[in-house]
Amino acid sequence: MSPKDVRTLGRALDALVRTARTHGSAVEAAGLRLRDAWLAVDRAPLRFGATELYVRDDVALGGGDEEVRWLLPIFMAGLRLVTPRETVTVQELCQLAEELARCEPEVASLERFRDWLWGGGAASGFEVELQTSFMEAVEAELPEAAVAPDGFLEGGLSAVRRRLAGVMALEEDAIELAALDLDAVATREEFDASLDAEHDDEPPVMHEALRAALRYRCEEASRWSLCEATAVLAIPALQAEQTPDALARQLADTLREHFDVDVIDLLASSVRRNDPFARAVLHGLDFPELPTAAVRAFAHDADGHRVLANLLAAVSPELASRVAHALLDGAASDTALVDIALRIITSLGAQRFIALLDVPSLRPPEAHALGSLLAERGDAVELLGPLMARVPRPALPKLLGALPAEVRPRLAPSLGSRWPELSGGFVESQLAPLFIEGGAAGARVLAEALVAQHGEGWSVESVRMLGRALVGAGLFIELCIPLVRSKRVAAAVRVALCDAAEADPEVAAAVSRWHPGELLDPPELRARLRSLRELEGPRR
Amino acid sequence: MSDSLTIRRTSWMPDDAQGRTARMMVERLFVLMRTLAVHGPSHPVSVQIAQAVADGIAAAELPFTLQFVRQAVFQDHALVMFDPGGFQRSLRVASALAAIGVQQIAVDHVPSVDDLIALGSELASGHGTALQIPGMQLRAILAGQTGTAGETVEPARFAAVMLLRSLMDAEHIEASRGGAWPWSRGAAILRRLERATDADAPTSTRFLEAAPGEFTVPRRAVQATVLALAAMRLVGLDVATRRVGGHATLAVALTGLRPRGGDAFPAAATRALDQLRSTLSTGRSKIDPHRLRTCALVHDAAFRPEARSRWHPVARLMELVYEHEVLRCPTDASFDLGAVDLLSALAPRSFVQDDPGWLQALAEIVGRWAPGMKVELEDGEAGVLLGGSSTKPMVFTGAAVKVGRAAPSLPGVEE
Repeated sequence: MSPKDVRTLGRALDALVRTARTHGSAVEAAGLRLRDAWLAVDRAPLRFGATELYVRDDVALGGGDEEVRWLLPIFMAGLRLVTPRETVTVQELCQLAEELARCEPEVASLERFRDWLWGGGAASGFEVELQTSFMEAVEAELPEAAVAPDGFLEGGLSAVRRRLAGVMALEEDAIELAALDLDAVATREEFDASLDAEHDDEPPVMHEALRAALRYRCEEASRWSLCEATAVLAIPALQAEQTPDALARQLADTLREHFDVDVIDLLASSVRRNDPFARAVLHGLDFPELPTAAVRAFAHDADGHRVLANLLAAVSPELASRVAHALLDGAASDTALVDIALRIITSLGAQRFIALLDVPSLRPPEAHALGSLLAERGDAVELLGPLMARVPRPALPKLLGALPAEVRPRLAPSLGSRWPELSGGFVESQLAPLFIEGGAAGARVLAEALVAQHGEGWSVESVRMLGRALVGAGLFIELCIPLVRSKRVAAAVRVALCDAAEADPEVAAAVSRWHPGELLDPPELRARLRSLRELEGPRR
Repeated sequence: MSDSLTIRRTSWMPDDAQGRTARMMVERLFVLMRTLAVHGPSHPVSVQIAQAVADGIAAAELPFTLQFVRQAVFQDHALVMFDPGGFQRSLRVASALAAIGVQQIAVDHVPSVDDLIALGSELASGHGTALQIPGMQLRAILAGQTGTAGETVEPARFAAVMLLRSLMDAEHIEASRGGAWPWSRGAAILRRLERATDADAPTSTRFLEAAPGEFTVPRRAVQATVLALAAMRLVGLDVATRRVGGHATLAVALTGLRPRGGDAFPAAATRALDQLRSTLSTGRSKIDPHRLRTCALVHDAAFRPEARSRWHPVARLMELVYEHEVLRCPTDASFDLGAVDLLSALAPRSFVQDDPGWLQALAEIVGRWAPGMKVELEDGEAGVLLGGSSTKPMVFTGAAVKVGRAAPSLPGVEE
């Protein structure tokens, strides 16, 4: 670092402050020059004197006949050292320069500047050393004069005497006496023991681990961030601080770590009160994990269902849909969420809740949860019927499986248009049993589908199972004999139906009754029909 | 004085009328001192300069007092502003005055030219002779007491003064209760309390507690702030967090405490927030982090009064020290509680359990084994603590005074 670099730094700061003075705000180009100049001296601390600026012992600005008038008020306000942080931005340099430019040789201005520094106004970009200001010189340097009888400062001794009810004899050395006699004053007569029980050799009450834990929680950045963001949302005066987008980003970052139901409640309530700032924040708040994190937090909050209902009403349809899906997904494994979901369905209305869902993207666990939630409702068929055409294939059995057996067949007509799609290895393994369990009505639905499709795509096992169910329900003859005799139906399906018919002699007889078309049937079917007839003989 | 925060195109030259006399005096005394050093007292130029000093005094509003404290000059207790040249000259004059044992000049009427030449000669030579000048009193201000933050002043005394000044400021705020929050005055109180703690921490925590006199609302509010600051310091929080916690505590305590008892903490926080937010705007593009965080902390307690466990931990400390001062002056009793009673009374309160660490911090600050505390000894016998140290507590069990071998447990606090 050469003296020339140091002077360049001084001149760059001077120029930035003066341009701020001239233009009313700092000029970014001058800010860039200052940043470069500071980097050239390795971000060395800048020491403020009354009329000079220094880097170590080198004068950066002032000295000799050159007067830098703006330095003196800053020195009087107590600023002594400024060191830029590694992360300092040009904007922060400009802001500092503007504050320096604002600092006038007036007490009020000095106090404002000092309060700004003391309040961490420059803390994001700089480390600052602040000493006692000139305004505080008397009480810091001549403390007794601050309360001296001649009223050096306002109020003085008389004020102190009045406050302490005259018990302390505040003469020339009264403060000294009061301070030195504290131990005596602090003595409790009844025990004749000193209150000052602390001694250097005593172990501390607080274990260091406890201190560290408390310290960590107090200084955790995400906690403060959440605390601040909440205040900004609630206090319009603070909203000038941040754009909704920036606040949304800040909230999203913190909510990922500490999901806070109250903040969501505040946000949703504000949106519902038509607060445009909150609306913009909520709009920008979305992040992939939000719905899952939210419902998890709501599950463990006594007021979770109310907040969730508020949230669903406040957010965009797309986000509301994701939250609703997350709720169903959570309800599949967390009973607390089942309760919340039931409350939400009650408060929003089932129709409205279902409308939030993106039905084609319903996952199997979500579908199961939805079925369970609606299972007890008398209007389950009316609610779910319209969905049947859109529920994805893998989710359908889960949805139907969660419904009572007597409800499932009633939904079957809604599935009519999907039989071609649902067949092909799927129906027999998952869907068919659900209908078959539903009894005669369910079996009839399936049989009608089987008939309509001429058994196309159905597996032998599935057809056999359905056939047995129809035999049991007394519907086989009515529904399946036409299939057994139909040339359009695959031979394997027809054989499987014959297998099922074997369970009931009467049905077996009806199926195996000879007819001329049999001559054109495939050999395996003819063989199976023959075997049925052979079985029939011994029975007779 | 400029009220707005717009950057003004001025020359950074002081133009306050109040300091004009001081600037004139400094300029002319400086010239007189230099002239006398070069030409001596009988030279016509010296006489001419002394006359100019006298003329300047005659033109000023009398009486006036000038104080020279370190690098600052005060006229009638108000800080005087200088341009850089004037500032350098004020330092020279202050140094010359200090050399003859003077920090204060009080002027009642215009002194004679001869007396002014005598004063100038002493300033030039640096030899004081306890000069007596009619119309002008020269005196030291408590000579030998200077020292930043208790550097040379006895620390306990320094801390006591800082606390008393804080108390006076708190009374100013309390006098305008319900109005806008004076951030600058609040910050000044915090700075004084910081200086007091830096100088002498034990005195800082015990002075307002032990000093006689009525426990007024401002006194209790400052004491709550002192305790909060001390607890945060003990835990090792950074200075910015301590300032935020301290300021928030002060605002809530000054708003919520009553002559006896006080409002519920969340209600006090709500009202404090109204005051704080009404003066938030500084005219700057950004509100400084201190104000933002102070509001955020108070808001945290105000906006979810029932969800204490979700408050920021510093807000829970605020509640603890606030309740400490509410309990100090019970509404249903005519007497005030002391530190020991307060600690014992706080310990079983449910809200303490959310952050028992804060109560332990408070216990460490107040004194671990405060006399009067009910304790249980290792042998199961219960008694009242009389004193002693933590390793040898004296416990009155009814039948005898025993010296315990082990430290008893704090009530309500898990070790």
